Amino acid sequence: MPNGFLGYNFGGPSRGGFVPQRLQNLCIRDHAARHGLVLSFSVSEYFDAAPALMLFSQFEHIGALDGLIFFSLALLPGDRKRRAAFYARMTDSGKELHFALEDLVWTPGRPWKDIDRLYRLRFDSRPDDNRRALQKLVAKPPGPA
Amino acid sequence: MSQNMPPQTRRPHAAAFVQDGFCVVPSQQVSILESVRADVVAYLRSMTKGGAGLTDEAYLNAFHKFSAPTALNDVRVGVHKTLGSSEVFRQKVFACARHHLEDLVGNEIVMQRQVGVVIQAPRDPAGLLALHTDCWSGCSPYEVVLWIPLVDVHDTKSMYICDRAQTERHLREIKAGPAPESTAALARRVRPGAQDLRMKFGDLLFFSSILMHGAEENQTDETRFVLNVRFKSLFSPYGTKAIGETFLPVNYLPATEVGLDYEGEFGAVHA
Ligand SMILES: [Fe+2]
Repeated sequence: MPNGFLGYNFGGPSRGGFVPQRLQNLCIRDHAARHGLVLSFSVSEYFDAAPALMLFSQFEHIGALDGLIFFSLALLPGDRKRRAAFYARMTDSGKELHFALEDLVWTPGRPWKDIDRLYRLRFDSRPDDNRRALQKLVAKPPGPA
Repeated sequence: MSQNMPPQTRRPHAAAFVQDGFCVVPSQQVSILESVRADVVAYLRSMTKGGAGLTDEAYLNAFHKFSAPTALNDVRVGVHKTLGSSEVFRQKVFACARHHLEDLVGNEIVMQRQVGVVIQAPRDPAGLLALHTDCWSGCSPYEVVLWIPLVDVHDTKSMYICDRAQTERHLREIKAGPAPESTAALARRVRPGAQDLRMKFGDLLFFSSILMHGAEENQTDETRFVLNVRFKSLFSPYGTKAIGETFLPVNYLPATEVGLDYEGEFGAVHA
């Protein structure tokens, strides 16, 4: 018998920013309350977040849960293949995935495309690189060819 | 820029936006705009007694007569929760503005998830907006704010705005120092050169998030009802209001569809 959702947060800096764990948990609890979800407890990713070992270990007992509540989309594994593996495990589990900060929900049976697109658009650094290049170009235009 | 670049031809409202930082245009979708207003009125009527038989316009103008000042905040919260975050309502608001918006930010657009609803009863000091630019609170300077009055607005029933040249002059002064010691001191400096926006229902205001603007106590005898929501190009730089959290895509163009799918499956192509 599933007994609630599991919160998932990270104690270190993430994507150039740092949100205290207490705030992450407040956000997760608020999301659960607003959606009428039972929050059983929360886990934190290991300080080396890239392999998302703590996240993947939750699949060992996911049958006992209703689903996961991430603090943010930013906590999805950064590596594309690792992320795809996570999506596959989530799909197999048949459980819900919530993102508290963004107030987004993935439900079983839905494609991952929208979530993954948002993740990649949000954390792609190339538009910023392009802006810097453009500002340089405007400041110092190339001479005639 | 390259000396071969042809001179830009822009439609008049787009040229005005570059010159002044804002433009006021008549919506090309007045019937949708009327339906947006009808949604607001229907919700208010479900919450509040009074005003039977009034037209939507007259009802909104007189709303302070039906709703006690103490109840107004509950109404604000209710409208915000029920309509402001409704996807159908959001799509309608977008449809009212799309025609003009595409000339300002492009045709691959992200829209703020929440449509803001401003209700300002006569002489109600609550919820007023001190002079500011949205960029000061983390908005990207590439954003455009859409401001839609649901009633005719003028004088203090409206808001005031500084055009681009004035805003930039004030920003340069602030940068050079000394910094203003309060929002009131700043408003004293800025307010005289700012203009009150006079708009009819059916008009849309688009303004850059860089512009200084604010709203004062409504000294008229009618309630101010305004919707506001932000847009930007999907790929222009974001401020602290991020995609996913604050903005969601309204559409993807074909090449973006293909590119996003490719990179999703095969990985990003880096220089
Ligand atoms: Fe503003």
